[in-house]
Amino acid sequence: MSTQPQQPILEVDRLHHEYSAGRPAIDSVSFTIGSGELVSIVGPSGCGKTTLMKSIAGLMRFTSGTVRLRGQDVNDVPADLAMVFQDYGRSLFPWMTVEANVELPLRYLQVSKRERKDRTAHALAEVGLSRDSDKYPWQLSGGMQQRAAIARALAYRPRLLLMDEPFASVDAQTRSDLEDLVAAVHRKHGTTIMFVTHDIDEAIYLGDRVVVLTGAPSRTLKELPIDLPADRDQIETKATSEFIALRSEVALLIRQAVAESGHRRTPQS
Amino acid sequence: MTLGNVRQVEPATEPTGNDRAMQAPLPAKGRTKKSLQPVVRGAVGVAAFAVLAQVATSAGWLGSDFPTATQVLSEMFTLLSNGEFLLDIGWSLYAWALAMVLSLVIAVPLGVLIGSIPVVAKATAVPIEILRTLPSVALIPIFILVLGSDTQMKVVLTLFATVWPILFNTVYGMKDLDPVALATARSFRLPRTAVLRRVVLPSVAPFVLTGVRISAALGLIIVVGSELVAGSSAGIGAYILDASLLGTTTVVLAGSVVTGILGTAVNAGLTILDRILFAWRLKMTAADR
Repeated sequence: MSTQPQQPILEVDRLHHEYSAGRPAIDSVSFTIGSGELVSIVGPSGCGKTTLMKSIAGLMRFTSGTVRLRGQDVNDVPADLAMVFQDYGRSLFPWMTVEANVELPLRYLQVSKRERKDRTAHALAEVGLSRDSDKYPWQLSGGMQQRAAIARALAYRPRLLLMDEPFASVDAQTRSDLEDLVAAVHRKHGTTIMFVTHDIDEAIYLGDRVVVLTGAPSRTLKELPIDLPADRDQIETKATSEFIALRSEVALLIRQAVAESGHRRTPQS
Repeated sequence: MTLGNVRQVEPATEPTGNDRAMQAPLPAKGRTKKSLQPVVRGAVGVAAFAVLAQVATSAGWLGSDFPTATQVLSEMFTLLSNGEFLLDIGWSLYAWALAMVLSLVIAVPLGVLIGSIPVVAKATAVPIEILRTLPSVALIPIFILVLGSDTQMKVVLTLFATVWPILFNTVYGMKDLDPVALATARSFRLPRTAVLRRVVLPSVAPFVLTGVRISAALGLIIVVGSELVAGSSAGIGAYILDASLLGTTTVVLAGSVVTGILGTAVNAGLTILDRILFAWRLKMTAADR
């Protein structure tokens, strides 16, 4: 689908972060995301993916390195970025209906009321929640709540959509449905997405590229282009020899990464 | 009852059946049936207590001059049809309501400030600790000197007791703010005022209401108590004081029972309000929090 982009949307260059001096959580992470790309970031658990995510979202100050969004250094929360959190139950506001949740961020954009309603309705239709717009999040299943969170991010129309292990706490069937939803949105609107996950299959299935990180303190280990056809299918694509080869390659890399970080670090922390 | 609101029972397609099967049930409609049981139990308790009171009083366990429970009860109904007494109830409730409103106006903003700015929390910790341990009843003489013995005094005195539960519950609620909810608000760049109005206050509101419930019962006791002690010219306490000076014990007791019933009613009202306003909270705890 996308070839190497000319003007990347996101550039992360030698990002380094230490929560306390001398104990880096992120050693040195560099990668770029081009316009319209879906890049999966995958790594062993505890490799600082969430720290990376927060640094890019401007929710946290990192120690050194640069993060540029459309050429601009990220110091504060960037304007054209939306996030989907793993913890949908806490990210949606339980005192608001699904519709009000989706609509809320738009109230503070320069958007007319009509457009706001329009965008909300479209986003809800997109994720299949049109009929549930006047329900409260707690009246919905986990999968549907995460759909609502995705709708909120879509209605915001971000230049970059950050997804932080969004499907880590839903069951397997719901998970593949939601993956296909993300894939469909990405295909249809060309939304640029950074998708953080620890699930190798998910990373490959969704990604145009996969960036593999080492264990903490994390470094970029490898970038793999995913040359699978754009139209992917949960069963067929995952049965192709290309997919299986990619899966083994990434799994092997992560195994190495874990072993390596085990050598570099004393246990614990 | 809007007829236009009728929904299709079974959905067409949209999210997968699996997704929908996981959906949590909507608030139960059979609730009224279920919640009758505690009501029945409560009624049994009240009846048992009434019988005990009647037996104790008519047997003279509390002294032969002590009026029986039925006498007190019938006196209470006489009182409730007495315009003068109703006006006194009005005066007491007026002072109480003023104190409650002022408590909210003071405690909620202060609680939010304390909960969000560590410097404020540190600076106020000691003064608050000292102030709240002062027994407000002990301050009555000073307040009478400064504020007289009527509404002003009652309100300030009551405020002095009712502000704390609301304040502490607000601060507690601030501590319970969900970091993910706040990060969400920040990631969408909601302005500070919007975060306050749409995220912070709704999160804290159930805690504030808990504080209000505690304060409300307490406030009523203090209003009536202060009227009695300070010799106010109006209010339930003033009426009871007059009756006690005349030696009409039945009226004194009936007035006290009315106060108790008022407190119970206020508490019940606030409990219902809590259930209606913050249904989401119960559901969340029931689900997976």
